[in-house]
Amino acid sequence: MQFLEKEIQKYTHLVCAILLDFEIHPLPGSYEGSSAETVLGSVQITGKWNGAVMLCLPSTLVDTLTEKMFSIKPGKASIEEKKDAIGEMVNMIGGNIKALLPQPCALSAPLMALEGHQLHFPSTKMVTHCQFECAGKPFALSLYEQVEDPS
Amino acid sequence: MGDFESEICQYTESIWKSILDLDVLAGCVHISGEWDGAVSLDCPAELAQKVASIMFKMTDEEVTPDLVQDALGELTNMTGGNIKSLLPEPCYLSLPAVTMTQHGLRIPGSELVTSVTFQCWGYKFKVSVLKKLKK
Repeated sequence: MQFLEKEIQKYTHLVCAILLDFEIHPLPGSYEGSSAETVLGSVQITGKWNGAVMLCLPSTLVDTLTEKMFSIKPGKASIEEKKDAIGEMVNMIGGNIKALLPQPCALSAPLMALEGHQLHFPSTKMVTHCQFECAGKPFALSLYEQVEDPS
Repeated sequence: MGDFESEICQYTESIWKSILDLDVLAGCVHISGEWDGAVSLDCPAELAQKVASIMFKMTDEEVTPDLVQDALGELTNMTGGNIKSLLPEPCYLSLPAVTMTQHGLRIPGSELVTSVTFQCWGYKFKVSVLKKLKK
């Protein structure tokens, strides 16, 4: 069992169900979509526990989620609306995860990397990676924890 | 800016890549607490590679992409740490995040408050401070 795996699955499901009325299901394995077709959203956690929560979604799923969140017609969501939708999702999931970690901790504003770009967190290691299925498409949520500087 | 933002980003990135053959790296640290926002550092990948070779005492050929990201992350962390000390306390600095090209890095819900461009070894780099917008 990975670090906080059950809790991450539970909160990701809750956020998708409550915010978007979308059912999601955990999938085995890891999601590694091509960077040209994926959107990344992250929030960082700082304090007694340091790390980052990263959401990785195929752009087609980002469109679907944004259209649902803002009641937009298919194909009409703007980049700003997509950023807001994914930022809100990762902020809510990150906020729930933060509550399980040693306090005090602060949650950063969301940071987004759109299609074709990758996001790296130097001096961290991935401690949890959960893959899900939503509306027939896979996506993933990963938790990164700061690695102590060996020096 | 709103309507043309994506087009401007796309054209600028295309020009930098196709004409100058330069990729751009961006590092970002968040500041949370009495003041909420972020500090980002954008620089050409070649400059980041030179920085990494000096920081890790290696030749340009020995420097791996991971080390380039580490170096830019460390520079961003040091810059953000100094800026944090000017802000109301208590504030906490997040871990750095690094991405290829600043045009792909976005911080929704924040506004640019300061941006300063520097030149180093003939390469330009930019330090920006963004403040979280109040909801």
